[in-house]
Amino acid sequence: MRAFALRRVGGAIVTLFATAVVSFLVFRLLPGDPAAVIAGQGATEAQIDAIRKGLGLNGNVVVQFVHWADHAVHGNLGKSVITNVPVSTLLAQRLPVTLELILTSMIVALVVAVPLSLGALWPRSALDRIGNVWPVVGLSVPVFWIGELLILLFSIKLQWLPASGYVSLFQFPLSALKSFLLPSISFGFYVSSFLVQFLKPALRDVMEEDYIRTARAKGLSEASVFWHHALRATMVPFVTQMGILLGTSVGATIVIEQVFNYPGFGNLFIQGIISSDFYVVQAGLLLIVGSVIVVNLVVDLIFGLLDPRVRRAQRT
Amino acid sequence: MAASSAARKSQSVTTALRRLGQFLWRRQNRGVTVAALAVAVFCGIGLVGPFLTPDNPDDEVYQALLGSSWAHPFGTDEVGRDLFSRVVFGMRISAEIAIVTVLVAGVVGTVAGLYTGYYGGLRDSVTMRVADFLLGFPPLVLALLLAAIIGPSTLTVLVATIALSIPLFARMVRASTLAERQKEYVLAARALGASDWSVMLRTLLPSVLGVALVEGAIVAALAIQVEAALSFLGVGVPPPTPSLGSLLYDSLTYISRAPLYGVFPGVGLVLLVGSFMALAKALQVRWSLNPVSALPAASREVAEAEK
Repeated sequence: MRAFALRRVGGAIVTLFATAVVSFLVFRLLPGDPAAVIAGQGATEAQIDAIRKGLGLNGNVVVQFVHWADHAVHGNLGKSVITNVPVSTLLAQRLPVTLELILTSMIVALVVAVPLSLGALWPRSALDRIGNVWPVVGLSVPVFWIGELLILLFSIKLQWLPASGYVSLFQFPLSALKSFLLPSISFGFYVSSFLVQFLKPALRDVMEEDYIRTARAKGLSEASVFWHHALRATMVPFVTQMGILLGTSVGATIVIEQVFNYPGFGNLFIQGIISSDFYVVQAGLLLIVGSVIVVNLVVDLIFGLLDPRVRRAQRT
Repeated sequence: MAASSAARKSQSVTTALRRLGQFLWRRQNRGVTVAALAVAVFCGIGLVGPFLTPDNPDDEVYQALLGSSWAHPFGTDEVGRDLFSRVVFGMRISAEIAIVTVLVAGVVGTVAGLYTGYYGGLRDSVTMRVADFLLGFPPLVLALLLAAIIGPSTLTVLVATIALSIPLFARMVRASTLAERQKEYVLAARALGASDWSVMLRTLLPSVLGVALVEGAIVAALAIQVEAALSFLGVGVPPPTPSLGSLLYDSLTYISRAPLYGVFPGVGLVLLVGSFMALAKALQVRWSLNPVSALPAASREVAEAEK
């Protein structure tokens, strides 16, 4: 287990470092010069140079990278060149908002995906057939169009729910739930198709295992076979899949936030890209990829802890 | 004499056609046939449709935000352009991006997968590390970054979708190359003195083609969605060229005045993506291929090792 854990952690660190290098390079590749943007129009070359020095953007690329990495490790991610607000402050404002959205979407996804996946227990039943079609439909319909259709139905026609905006869950719980509902359903629908696509075949495979036949042969009831034998075996891959989806969610909510005009992290990131806000893009990229890497690492470690075959497998 | 030989010829043609039809309609092939037909029809609308639409999609010649009518089946947009023409042109962009992405990324990715899977060793682990790294980015984020660096254009979208798709192809093809490499027919080809490239392209390629085809359909669906999402976010195909994504974004602004504006481009998008997804599913069922790419990295190694 130790060798396995070390190998995994080592791999994750290498990837994180590569991500840091890439975010740094992206920052260099973005069109424009941050120092010139901050200095404003009509600044002299000397003024721009002074600002560039202050940002640590002079000298060769390696020195710049070390300077940046040193600041980043200490929580200083630079300031937005547009609003002059520190990026760490912006992230602290926007991230919780997106996390609330991700959390409610995951709940919606689970409520939909788990019953649909249970169709694997009754082959050829209506539930089984719906579960087979669900991922194909869910992955074919773009999230932003689902959002638009929901707005059309619930906000325009029925006028039950707000079409956009964000209300803090802690200040106004009830209207917050209302404003969460449409974005969460749209994103949750999308996530649920991934879950069904993964969970259902897993459950079907488990039900064909020898030990399930043994459990039935012992005379256990179908309910007992499911709860005590099948469910446990499916839980491990299922939880890992949930983890992976959580990791990618931070980047995936960008489109949903755009539809519902939702002031989360995705909104910040896309605005940063459109307005070439160097430090915001850089930090955002690091955060998106970093969360994928960290979640994958945790998932791999849990997997290795629970399944000895994973630990022993040699890298192919 | 001449007449009877012509008759025999036409008879043999009809027999061949009937045989082809029977082959395509066999129980195990039927799903693939139907899905491929759907793909052909919806891509066809995009590729041929623009020559048949009544209006130039960029002409602002009518009243803004008209409802459905015989002259404008989908109504008009906010500056009075015919929406039907714009949706058909949008489908054209989508279809073109899907086709070019699959062709370019399919060839590059398949060759890369064959190459790394066949030789193994350092070349393999380095390439796969890079692929893993690229696949670590959510697809849209990678595309967004390219758009930010190169600036939004149709070419940028293509570069992004191709860059996303190459590792997808390479990973799948490599996995099945690894599984096939040690089989007798490959060893036999090598024993007979075939060169490495000949083994890869003549012996291994046909065996991994099924996997590559499935991946191709998935990649096409992905490329269409990425293009739509980029255009929806305003960094994809630049205006005034119509794209399904930017049509959907524009429709959102006018959703209370013209509720149906956004429905038509959405349906076009779903039909295109859905037909490719159905094709992928049908091909998977046909050859009973199990996708392993959905598994976490560690369990993927087990799955590959057990093969």
